[in-house]
Amino acid sequence: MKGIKLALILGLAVVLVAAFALPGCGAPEVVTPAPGEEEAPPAPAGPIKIGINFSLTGPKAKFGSMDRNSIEIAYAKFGVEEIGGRPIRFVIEDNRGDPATAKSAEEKLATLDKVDLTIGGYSSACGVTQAAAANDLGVPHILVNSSKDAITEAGYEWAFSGPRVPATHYADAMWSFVDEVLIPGGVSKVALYYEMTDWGTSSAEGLRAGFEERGIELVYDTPYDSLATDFKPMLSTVKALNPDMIMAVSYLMDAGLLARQAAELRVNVMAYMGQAGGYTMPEFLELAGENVNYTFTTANWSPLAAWKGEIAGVKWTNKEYYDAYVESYKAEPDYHGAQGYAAWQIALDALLRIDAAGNDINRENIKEALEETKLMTAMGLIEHHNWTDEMGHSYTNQGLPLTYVMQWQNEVQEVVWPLAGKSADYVFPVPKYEER
Amino acid sequence: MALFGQTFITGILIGGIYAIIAIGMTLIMGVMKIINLAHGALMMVGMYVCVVLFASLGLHPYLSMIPAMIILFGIGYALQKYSIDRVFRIETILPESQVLLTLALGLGITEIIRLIFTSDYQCTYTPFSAKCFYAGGMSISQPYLVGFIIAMAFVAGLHIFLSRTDLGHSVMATAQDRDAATYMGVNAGRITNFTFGLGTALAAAGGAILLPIYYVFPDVWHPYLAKAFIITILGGMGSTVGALSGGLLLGVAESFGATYWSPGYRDVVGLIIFLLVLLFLPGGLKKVIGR
Repeated sequence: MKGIKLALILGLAVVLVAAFALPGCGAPEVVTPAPGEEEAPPAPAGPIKIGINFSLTGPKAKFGSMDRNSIEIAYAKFGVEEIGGRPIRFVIEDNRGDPATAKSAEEKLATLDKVDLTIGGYSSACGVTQAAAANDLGVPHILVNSSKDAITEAGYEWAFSGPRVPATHYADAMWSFVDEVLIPGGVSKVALYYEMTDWGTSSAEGLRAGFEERGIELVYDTPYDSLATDFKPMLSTVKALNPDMIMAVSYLMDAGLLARQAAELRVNVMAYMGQAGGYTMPEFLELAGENVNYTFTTANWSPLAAWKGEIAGVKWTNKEYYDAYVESYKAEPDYHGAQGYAAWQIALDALLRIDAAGNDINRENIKEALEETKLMTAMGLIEHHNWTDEMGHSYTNQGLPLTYVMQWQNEVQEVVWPLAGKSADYVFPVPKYEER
Repeated sequence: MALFGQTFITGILIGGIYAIIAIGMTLIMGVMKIINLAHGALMMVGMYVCVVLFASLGLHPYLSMIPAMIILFGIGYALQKYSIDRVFRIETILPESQVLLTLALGLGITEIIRLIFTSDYQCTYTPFSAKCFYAGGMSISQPYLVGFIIAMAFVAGLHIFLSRTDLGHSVMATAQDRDAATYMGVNAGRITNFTFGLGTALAAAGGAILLPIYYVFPDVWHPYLAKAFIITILGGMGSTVGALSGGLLLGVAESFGATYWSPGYRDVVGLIIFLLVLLFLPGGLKKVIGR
């Protein structure tokens, strides 16, 4: 009888472990992003396999889905279905936003599926494990969004930052806005709060240094749990400290709740600045309603940016990507999507250059081609190289896309900085909640 | 002073909502003596019922709460009768396995909901969601206040039901001594099914109260399951007054922890209370309150 009990318990345990661990490692979903088309006859060398490792389900699925959708749009736009007689095939893995699953999915793509290149997205915690696994297994990996600085500071030769902005550089455009507008306008005390993840803490590090360098007093500097229902205790403390500006690093749900609850508590400041993330997502408006108005946010991309170029003989513009996304998915993309689009531009450019040089498309040659990437993309000019910033971060294979400051005005995001690219004038200081 | 008052009010209001979610779990734990780890997932299903009714008929969650509770009562009753009870009846299966079954049910329900609704966030945001009263430099959110009042009404109603009705007495008798209740003529099996359904309906009510101030997605239940478990231990199994006291205490403690310690450690406050109660007050507040 004891044996039966033991077998039952073990059986249940196995089922549970499988439920937790295996969804990211199931049978691979091998698809071409243009459904309905007949497959070309298999080429002798086999297809060029591209591994896609995104969070397609779970709380971070919004970001991963936007990445995947944008890659599909880019694939359809440039229409390159085979290179050197080898068809392009995508092997898609859903890492559920879980770092351990992201790692095992990366390992599966590299070893079982034997992909030539992997493209990995949201979030930073997943990016850390994906990049490490790709580097260990010697498969070139393009990071799409995962912005924790440490990922490209680790010296990984096989990981390429692609269109991603390191977290401490999200606010690059914001600093000139702070220097030229906010400080002269009276901002001298800032409350900084950030969600407790790799991205949040990495971002806070750069923000803290930037404010301190400018002599701005940080009257509040605290991490928070992004899954909390109620941020009022934190916001009440911030209100009592009476800062001139709030700087927030938030994902989507917490960004929406913070905007709502700051309005409820009337936490009036001269400027509420979000560091990209949830503040740029179109769903921020859906979640926070009219409370989005006057919120500033740093952003890594704008549909208004005049980026354009030509890949595989196909001319493209940044605005075309935005329009195609809206038409295909009936929703607006934000910078996460643009990074996905740019990731396929970078990958395709590398593959085409290898083929044009008459070389085989394999992992080694893809790595070498990515090292030489210098390409205009939907995120601006991307150039992979090694460099060190003024904060002492030494990056490998890292580009640096331009950043912007946007402001929600009348429930629409407007580019307000740099002035050269503005779509509307900034509103600063912002009106008090009771006067809106 | 305004900061202290704001913190206290916020804690009380959110604590009341925690209590309504936890009270279903404490009822089930009291009667069945097992931890129902599907409780949070069933709360999430209730939230989705409200979202669907909001999207299709424009029903505010406070109204759709009633159909959601009825549907979830049926789901809970059926789950207990056709799934948990079947394992419960086999004496050779350890209670731990029954707990694992509820966890598996919770995970299964979550994935079914994900298949139907995807992982996208859904919300029922209305202008009411951001309405507030202002007094003495403090703000009182109307959806929090209304949610708190509804939660208190449910707690009071449940308390009266359990202490003043024959069916309620049967539930309490089954909770106190299942065998003795059976000898006294109580159909313990049917009462257990009813209790599971009732507990699940209360979880749906808690989810409906949360909706105007929060969002729903398939994994939304994880932190609420943990809170319900802490409150059940804090208040004592099977005690409505204990669950209410535990919910309010946890809400206030988390709120003060977030204000005066760090918002990043608000959950740590709950876990510290959990440990302290286990160490120094194993019977929970029920032992102190005597109910």
